[in-house]
Amino acid sequence: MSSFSSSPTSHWPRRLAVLLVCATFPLIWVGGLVTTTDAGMAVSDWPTTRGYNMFLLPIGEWLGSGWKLFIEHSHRLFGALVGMITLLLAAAIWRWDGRRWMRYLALVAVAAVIFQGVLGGLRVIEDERLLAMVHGCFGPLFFTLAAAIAAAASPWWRSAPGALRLADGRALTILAWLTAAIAYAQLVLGAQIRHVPLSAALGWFDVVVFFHVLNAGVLLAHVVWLWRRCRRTKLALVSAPSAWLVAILAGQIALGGATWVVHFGWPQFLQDRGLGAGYVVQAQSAVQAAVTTAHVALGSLILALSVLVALRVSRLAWVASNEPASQKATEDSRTTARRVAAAPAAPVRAMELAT
Amino acid sequence: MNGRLANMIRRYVDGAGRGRRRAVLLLCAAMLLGCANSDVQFRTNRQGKRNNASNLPAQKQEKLVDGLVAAFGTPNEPFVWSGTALDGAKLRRAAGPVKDGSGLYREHCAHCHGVTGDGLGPTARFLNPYPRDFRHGTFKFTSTGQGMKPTRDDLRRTLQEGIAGTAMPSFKVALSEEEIADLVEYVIYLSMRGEVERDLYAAVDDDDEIGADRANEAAELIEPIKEAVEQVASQWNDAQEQVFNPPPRQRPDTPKDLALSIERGRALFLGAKGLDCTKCHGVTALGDGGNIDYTSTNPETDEVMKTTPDKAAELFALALRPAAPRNLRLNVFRGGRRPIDLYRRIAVGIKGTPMPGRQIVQEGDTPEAAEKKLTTEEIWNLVDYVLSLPYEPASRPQKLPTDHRAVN
Repeated sequence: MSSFSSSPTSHWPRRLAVLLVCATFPLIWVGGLVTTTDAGMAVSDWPTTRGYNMFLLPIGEWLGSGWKLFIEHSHRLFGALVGMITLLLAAAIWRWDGRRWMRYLALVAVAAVIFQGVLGGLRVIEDERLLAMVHGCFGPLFFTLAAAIAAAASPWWRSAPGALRLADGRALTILAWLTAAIAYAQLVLGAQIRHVPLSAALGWFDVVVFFHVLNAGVLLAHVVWLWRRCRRTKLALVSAPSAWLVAILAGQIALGGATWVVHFGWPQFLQDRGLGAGYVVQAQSAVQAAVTTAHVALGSLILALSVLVALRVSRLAWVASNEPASQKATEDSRTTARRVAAAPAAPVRAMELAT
Repeated sequence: MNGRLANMIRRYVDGAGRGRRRAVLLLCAAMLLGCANSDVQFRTNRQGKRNNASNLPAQKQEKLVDGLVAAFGTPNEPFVWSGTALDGAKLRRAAGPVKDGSGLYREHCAHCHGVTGDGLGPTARFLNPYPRDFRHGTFKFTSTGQGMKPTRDDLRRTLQEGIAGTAMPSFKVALSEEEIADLVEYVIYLSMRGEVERDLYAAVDDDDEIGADRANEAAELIEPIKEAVEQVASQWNDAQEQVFNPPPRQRPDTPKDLALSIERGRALFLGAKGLDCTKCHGVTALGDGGNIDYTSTNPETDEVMKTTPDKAAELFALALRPAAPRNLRLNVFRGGRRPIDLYRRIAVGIKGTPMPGRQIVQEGDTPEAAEKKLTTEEIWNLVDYVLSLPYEPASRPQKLPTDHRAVN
């Protein structure tokens, strides 16, 4: 069965994949809140919670034992829910999706969600912040995997590429995947700052902050470059998410600065000019928790979006390079015609393209 | 294995200088191997009274560490002799790993102040001002007299209110009053431990005959430890009852009286009675007096900077920064902006900084002696002047009204 000519026999894989994405994103927020409010060790047993089966903890104890237990146990329950959705998604893909690689991807998702859950549990049992950091770095990968499955399960993935032609596919594919890799490196660097060990040498934190800031600049340059290249394709499928990527990254950089301020206060050079000199950092305040957690969650969103762009670009490039020459010529002319229609202000150039 | 690798990396960084290439290598290695080391220990003093403690021969270092463990326990299991009047239950809640019922210090304080309370937590180098090094027993904002330890209430206030314009947060939201009291107790414990360590350093360094039996060697330190602990503990205990409270003040009744008080304060600030406020704060009070002073919690700092500045990097873990006098026109006073706070800053000074305390006229002083001191009223005049500074036109430049309605 050709991978892009097959038609879906059910909408359930796509629906469940979208549900998984929608459930995993808030789970990342809740997980971020656990770390931000240092609630990771509020419950010292796992997979039980205070000796109870995780699902049978009395509601009174869950809601009435303070914020830390509430958020940690909520994170566990939410994680379990995401695990169940992943199992359902895998079952649906095995039942209705004929693509072998898609089935393997579903198995990888099941393995990943189990691994992530065990990592979280081990972090509690071993009381090891290093595991918390790995757990924090793996969560966004799972979220990205869920987004990738949702993209691959979409009707567009199966049908639309046949009608489109992506010029310079190879260069754009490399650029998109490189951007995704830089986004992930940025996330790992951020996790190093967030989980800096008490035993770290004095220069460690400085080095990580330096590279986090440096990599933010590199990522911004890459994302803007990717957006410009995607915009040139005039394909909304890639130009729209890449534009979102630029907007979200701009917000993320602002959030990064805000995260610093709510933890360490305003920089001295601004205080000397009267800005923020009277600001008192409020430990674990709602603002501090919200800003920091939003910074963490947006990092995951940026990674997932950049992978989405990379997947779509790769798909278009793959289709363009594998379709029969006669079909390619037809599609080229169709695409050119669309471009002509899309660019009425440049009729001469459009005619040149058409010929 | 992982711990050994982490230790190798740490040693590598400690001795590495600050080369970018090494930093990159460190980053890559730690990302691959994991940089965490759950084995949390107190660090030996890198800024000992005479020299770097890590320069002691290995046997002397062992003796010093054994003695300190005997006197104060470990970060996971702290204890102190009963003479210190420290509350063991509070210490156990504040110490140890972050768990339900313990670990408050590591959760909220150690990333800046360090596990040892040496002000060398992982984030320390980024902060301005640097986090406090508790081991010198010197705390900036106190209600006690010159040279005295703070009260528990002083430390509680700093934890509760935070310090504006610095990374020291307010824990009002995060912690209950009991938890703050636990942390205060632990800070005092770390401070006592640090001061005793500095005293023991000399005793160990002077010992020319170190034997192979570690238990015997540690036992030799019991008496010096006891003496040092009792001395430090008495300073802390005495401070609790010696709060510096100025006599009640008759506030200026009318705006005219207040203006008069401010004028007297201005004259004092500008040099009357030999006050040298402008040397650091500047004539404008913008903190631009130009005086450069490195005095900090470590009394050796200024001496080193004046005699052998090239040795500073070797002796001090953090690059020394000159003290930054406050811009008094910002309306931000880090030790508190209540009149009583400012009175204490002027009368007692800010400990461990170039801001000195002042001698106050006492009953029975001769006219000559009184001439060189400040009266209580004069200090209040200075307080009035300082509190008026942010509202002077020079501090709040006004734009000409462009809207005629604003004029009317």
